[in-house]
This record gives sequence, C-alpha cells and structure tokens, in this order.
Amino acid sequence: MSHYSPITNTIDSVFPGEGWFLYWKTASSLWKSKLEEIKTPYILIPINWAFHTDTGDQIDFGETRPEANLKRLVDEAQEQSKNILFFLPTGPCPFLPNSGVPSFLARSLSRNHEKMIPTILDNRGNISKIYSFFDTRIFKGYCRFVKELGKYFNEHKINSSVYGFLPGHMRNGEFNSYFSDQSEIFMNTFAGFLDSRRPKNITDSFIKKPQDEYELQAEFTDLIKNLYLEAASEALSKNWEEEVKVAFLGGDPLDFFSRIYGREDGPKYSHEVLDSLKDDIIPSGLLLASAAKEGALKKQLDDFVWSTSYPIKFQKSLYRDDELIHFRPLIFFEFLEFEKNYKESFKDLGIFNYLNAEFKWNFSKRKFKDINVSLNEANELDGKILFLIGEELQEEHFFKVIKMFMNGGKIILDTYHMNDSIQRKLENFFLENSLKVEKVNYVAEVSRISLGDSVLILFNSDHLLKNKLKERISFWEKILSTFSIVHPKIDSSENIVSFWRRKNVVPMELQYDEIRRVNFLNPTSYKAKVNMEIKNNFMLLKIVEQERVKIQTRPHEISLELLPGATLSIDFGIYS
Amino acid sequence: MEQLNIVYTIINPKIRGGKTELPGYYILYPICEKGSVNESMLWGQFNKYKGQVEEEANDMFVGPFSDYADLSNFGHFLLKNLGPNKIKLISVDEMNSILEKSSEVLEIKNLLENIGDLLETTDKVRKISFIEKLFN
Repeated sequence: MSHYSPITNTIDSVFPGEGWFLYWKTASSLWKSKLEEIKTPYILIPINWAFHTDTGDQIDFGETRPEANLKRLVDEAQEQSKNILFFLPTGPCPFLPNSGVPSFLARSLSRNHEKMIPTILDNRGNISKIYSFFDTRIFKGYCRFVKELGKYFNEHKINSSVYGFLPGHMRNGEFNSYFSDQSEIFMNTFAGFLDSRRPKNITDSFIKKPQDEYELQAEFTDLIKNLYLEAASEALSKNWEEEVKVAFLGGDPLDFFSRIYGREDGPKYSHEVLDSLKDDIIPSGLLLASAAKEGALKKQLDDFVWSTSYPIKFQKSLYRDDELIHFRPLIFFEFLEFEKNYKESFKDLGIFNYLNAEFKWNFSKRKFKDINVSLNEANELDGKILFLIGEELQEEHFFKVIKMFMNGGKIILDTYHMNDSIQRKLENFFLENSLKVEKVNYVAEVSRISLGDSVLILFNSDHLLKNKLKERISFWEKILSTFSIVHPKIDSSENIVSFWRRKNVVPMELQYDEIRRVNFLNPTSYKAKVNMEIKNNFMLLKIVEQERVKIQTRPHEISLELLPGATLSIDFGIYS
Repeated sequence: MEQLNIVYTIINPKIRGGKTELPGYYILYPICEKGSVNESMLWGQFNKYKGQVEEEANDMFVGPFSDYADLSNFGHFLLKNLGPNKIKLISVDEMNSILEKSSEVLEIKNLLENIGDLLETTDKVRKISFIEKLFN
C-alpha cells in the first residue's frame, strides 16, 4: 500500500516527485506553506551550487537572495516536524541548468561514448546539457563551494543529514553516471594519467587492445569522481551520511530525441525502476512530467520508491528499528565484484540469459570488500548464492572465502586463471578437513564440495565457453537446480512486470519463515494474461491493491488478466 | 510532405588509442503522422526487430563494438522496411553543433527538420550510397 499522498501535477516544478523539493523554484516566503503540502516523513533537497553563486567570488546563503537561505529552510521544516535530507550532487546533475555547474564555469561540454553532447529534457521541457567535470576549473570551484557550505552548516548548527548524490541513468540494466566523459578535456587529462601509468623505458603506446583503454578510462573516471566525493564528504563531515546513486527515468541521453517528440517509454521506465532497486540505486521520476507517470509507473514509484527504497536507504537517520516491516527486493544470487564489473567478468557464460529468463530482478552485485563475514553473523550471507571470479582472487582474499564457506555460504567459483597458490591452498583445505569433492562432467567439469548447509561449486569458464550458448544455459539450469530454490514460475509476456520482495515475519506471522510479496504491473497499452504456479510451501495470505485485474485461483495456480495500467500485489507466507 | 518526426540512433564510433577510427553517424528517418496506425505498426516492428538484434548480437559479436553491429542490422531493417528515401544521416559533429547552439526544444526540432529537408535535396544520393556501402 502506498503510505503517502501523491503530489499533484500543479506543483511539478517545486515538487517534481518522490519527495524532492526544489527550494530555488519558489519564493522563500512560500516555503512554509509548500512544505505543509508534503505529507512524507522525509524531504529530499538537492543543493543547487549554481544558485548560490553568480561569479564565484561570493557564495550566498541568504545574504543576498532569501531563497538561498538553507538555515531558514531547515527551521521551517523542523517547525513542522519534518526531516530534511540534503542531497549534494557529486557529479553533473540532469535537472539543473548546465547540469548544475555555475554559468561562469560552464565552458566545456561533455561528450558521451558516441561522442555526442549528453542532453537531457526535464519535466517542464527544459534542456540541460552535461558539462565535463574533468575541467579543473570546475573542480576548484566545487571544492571552494563545498568548503563554504560545510562552514555555513557548522556556523548555523544545521544538523540535517547530507548525502552525496551521484546522478545517472539506467541502460541495459546498468547504472551510468553523467560523470563519464569522452570530450577533448577528458582526453587531455586522461593523456596525463596515461603518462603517469606508462612503464619506464616504453615511449610508444603501451595499450595493446581497445578493452585495455576502456578499463583505464574507467579507472581514471573513478579516480576523479572520488576526488569530488572526498572533497564533499570532508567538507561536510559532521553531517555526511554516504553517497547514493540516483537513476533518472528518461535521463538517458538516448531518450532525448524521442522525448522531445513527446514519446515516453513507460514499459522501459518500469523496468528501469526495478533494475535500480535490485542494485540499491534510487530510481527517480523527477525528469518526467506528471502525465508520463500515470498508471502503473506511478504505482511503482509510490510503492517501491516511497515505501521500500527510501525507508531502507534512510532508516538510519529517520527510523529506529522498524526494518522488519519493509519489503526488500528478493535476491537469490549475488555476484561479488573486485575491480571488474560483474557483467564483464561473467559475460558470454550464459548465466545472465538463464537468470533473466527465470530470476529477473532476483540477482544483484556486491563488492567483495563489503562482505563482512563472521561466524556470529549468520544473516550476512542470508542463504544467497554467491558468484566469484577466481582470476581476481588474491592471497589475502582466500581466508575470507573459506570463512564465507564455513559460515553456511553457497559459493560458485570460476577457477579459470586462478592463482596457483590459491588453488593449492583450496585443495589442502579440502584434504585437511576431509571434505569430499564430488566431480561431475555436465557440459563442463564441475566439482562440488559440501559441509552441512555450505556448498562450494568449482567450474572452469574456459571449458564452459567451448560449448554452444544453449548448452551453457542448460549448464546453469542444472547447477542452480541443485540449490533447491523455491520460486514460483510466472508465465507472462515480456513487458509485464512481476517483481518479488521479501520481509521478515512479525510476531503474528511466526508460523512462516518469511513473507514474500509479488507485484504485477502492466505498463503496456494492451491487455495481458499471466499464469503463476503456487508452490507447496507457499501459503496465499492476501491479495492487495487490485486495480484493473481479473483473478482466478485454482489449487496450484493463479491466472490473471491485466488490463492496461493494471496493478496487483499478492502476499505469500513461506514455510519450510 | 507529412510532418517530419525524427527518430535517431547511432553508429558507434570505433575508438583505438584515443582516436576515433570512424566518425559516429546518426540515422534519422521521418515516420508517419504521430498517433497513426502506421506509426504504431512501425514501432511494433522496430521493437520486435531490435529485440532480435540484441539477442543475436550477444552471440555473434563480442567486445565494445556490439552497438555498431546492432546499428548495421538496424540500417538493413530501415532500408528494407522504409526504403532509402526515408533514411537520412547527419554526423555527430552536425548533431553536436545543433545541440550546442540550441537551448530550446523547438529550436532543436526546427534545425533537425531543416537538415532533413537539406538532405532530401542535396546530399541524399551520396549519403544513401554511403549507408548502403557501410551496411553491406
């Protein structure tokens, strides 16, 4: 159920959606009444650097323009017992003119991968062009601004949380920040970076393949991105929470041309919302006009973003201990990343073909370093199946992998190009602990080691790649079926969204292990049918938020007929 | 001539050693009147086709140039379904100069439509032969 009142389209510019409040778009004398209109417990306030300085010499926090007085804004909100969260952009921001860069610094436009100027349309039909954050003048100006901002917060005893906010968009299931750049100014600074990386005694290019260059560009981009983040987090250390990624629907520069002709791709946006949520990215419809957010998409933004993403993300500052009541995306599989992107590491293996068909939005990624395993914290792994790439494993990671295994971890490890010493250590570990290694040859050779609930599966991606795609997919189907994941099969057309979430049980639900909710949405303009099998250990608890849907239930199946814009949620109690 | 609505996509430039080997090109084509039956048929075909291309591209092409392959196939699709006189090209530089000097949506639309008209009368033959050569 949506907990909060919707924002009406008459105030699109000040409240563009999902709790965002653009303070500079309304007179400060109206802040009080405007804030009263927001019925949410949290208000997201992006800080507009350009609004606080015209020339760079002076930074205004209300001395000249009353709308720049952030202290007054905080006071007005606190008077109404509303918590405000400041969002400080740490990269180009698509809903601000000149992507948030003050006009005196807006000199070098960015270029995307296709060498085009990234151009974005906002919810009022205004254009924002992305400027290159690799311009040193911008970096210097940004550092000065955040320093002054930090000082201002300290002097005025503003204790509101400040989140670093990296704006971006989703494309093919991946988050792309507007920081990425291929402009001349990027190339020039990148050339300096390459020089610093050039091995001694080599004067020619040391880059052998285009892929190497892409990787170095990504590394350099991360390096500069982190400089902005560090500058912001240090300057505002007393208020600083963390950096969050926000993916703007309609914010892909490739959407620009269809959007200027009035085409909004609802089904695509619906998928982007879910792609974001599963990777812990906040989706935002801020660039879309109210009319484009009607129906299923609005339902998704209300229900998934307001009720799921925000409380989980911000509960540290806003909630006490109520995580039990919130549904979180249901994740069965996690790909553990080191340096490389997990999609790159596991590409061509057929695993994504299989997961996208059977477990779409039930897999995610996590940085290997972020896993905190201790024998007392059994919940950390939470029964998830973890994918690891052996080639990137270093000696210092070995004991953590073993700890994960001993802690009930279910791990699938690709041993291709794995360090010999780690390979030997692993074999010794099996011998010393008298662990039985079962070997099976199905499509490729697989070794399975189990100890209680713990499972370790070893395979070699090089061997797997020698097979056709169909066989690789069947390999994963077989391997993953050994984990006995209980998940109902849903038969529907591709554009129909079915998104699973889970939550822990509250005292009155103790007969179940957990509660799962599936949300169905029809973002298309046609009628669609859906069939879902009900597994034996799934108890249908309730059907909620049924709109424009016909439901038929049989002993082991639910059939749905979803009209355009239809939404429906079904709760199941899961027991062993 | 009916209202020129423009849909674009990109031939991904190949980048080697920091230099673009091929210039990026945009394909522009006029589609039928907005909201007409023909328009939805065209989009239906396009989406269906695009799905196929992506699926095949995963298998057939690896590395960073799969967009290029996608576009080659898309070019074939456009030629086959719309005919050469419905395809127009402008370079990335031309597109960027439009984006750089325009701050209004209407301005961008007008400039794009003017380019469409220019290509109609002058560069069409040369550019169409280029696209056919490129895609074949």
